[in-house]
Amino acid sequence: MLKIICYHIRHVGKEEGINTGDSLSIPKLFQWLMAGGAFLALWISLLLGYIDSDINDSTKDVILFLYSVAVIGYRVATFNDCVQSAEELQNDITEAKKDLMAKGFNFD
Amino acid sequence: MSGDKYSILLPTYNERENLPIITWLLVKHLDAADIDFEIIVIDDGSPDVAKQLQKIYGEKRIVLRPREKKLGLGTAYIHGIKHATGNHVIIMDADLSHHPKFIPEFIKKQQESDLDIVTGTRYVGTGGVYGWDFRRKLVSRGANFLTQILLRPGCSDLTGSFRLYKKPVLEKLVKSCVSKGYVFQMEMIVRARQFGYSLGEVPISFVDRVYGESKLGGSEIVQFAKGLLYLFATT
Ligand SMILES: Nc1nc2c(ncn2[C@@H]2O[C@H](COP(=O)(O)OP(=O)(O)O)[C@@H](O)[C@H]2O)c(=O)[nH]1
Ligand SMILES: [Mg+2]
Repeated sequence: MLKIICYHIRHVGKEEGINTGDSLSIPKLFQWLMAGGAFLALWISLLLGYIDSDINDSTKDVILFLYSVAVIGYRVATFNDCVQSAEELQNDITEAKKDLMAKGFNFD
Repeated sequence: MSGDKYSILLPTYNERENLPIITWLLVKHLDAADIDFEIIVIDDGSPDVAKQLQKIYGEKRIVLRPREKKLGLGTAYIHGIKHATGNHVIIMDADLSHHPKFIPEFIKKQQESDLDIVTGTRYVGTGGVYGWDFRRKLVSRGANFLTQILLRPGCSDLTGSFRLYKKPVLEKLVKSCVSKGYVFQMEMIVRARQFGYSLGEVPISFVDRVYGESKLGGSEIVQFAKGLLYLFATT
């Protein structure tokens, strides 16, 4: 699973960004901070002998969990609310109805 | 104008409030951008509204391909494509959650690098949603995150259904996809990737439907999970 995440971190910008110019919706800084944070956590735990040679399963789960929560949390928080589009649509509806009625459309 | 023609497929079921408005908006924005188009309305059940619109806008612009009863979205697309005379096809919902003002941007994006598919995305850049509470945003983002990790589709909005296709590309994809509902939209993109089609994205604002109610709702999450598993296991 950890492999998948690392792959994700490395390739996500490239793949999701195809022709969009703007990858993810996470600023580059955050992408680096998250990747950096994950590796730092690993490195420190190795240094302190918290894990010996191989990373144990529960640590992997914790890292996976934290990574997911961070990314999803950030994306929910930055999910655009298109208030202006909604208002615009209301105006569009009014205008369309008026014009269609003038053209003889019958909204019963 | 470049000789390109765009066939817009509007599948409708109980959209009598929305259909006149979406049609009016399509004509407004496409005419303003000098785009050659036809609107193909695939209405299941109540074609009288579309008939009225045809009287106003003419048979060249409003093409009616009604069906007797509700037969589902996937077959509505197949039915519509058969009658499309454009070299590009645009698929969108008729419930006003997909605004026609974005279509000129789709077309521009397509032309820039001769793309096979351009898809609207709610998840990138200026894209977004209106009318979603925290729970819905969380589910949406969570599901999207999972999809990105498992399928790595090279597309940020897999379940969206506001897209432009080259006509032969859409024909091939529709034939090779077997899923229904939301999963259908996901499968289209995943298969497109397998065939090596090129894809671009345009950020869109998705405004939840004003009139009527969603027909695909209900077991949304269950449907999605099953579909994701299916695509994960088979592609
Ligand atoms: N012709 C046809 N159109 C349908 C059918 N089911 C849904 N639609 C249309 O497909 C579009 C998307 O449906 P909607 O209920 O808004 O789905 P949602 O946006 O995912 O909740 C709308 O324009 C509907 O009117 C169907 O069985 N037949
Ligand atoms: Mg809808």
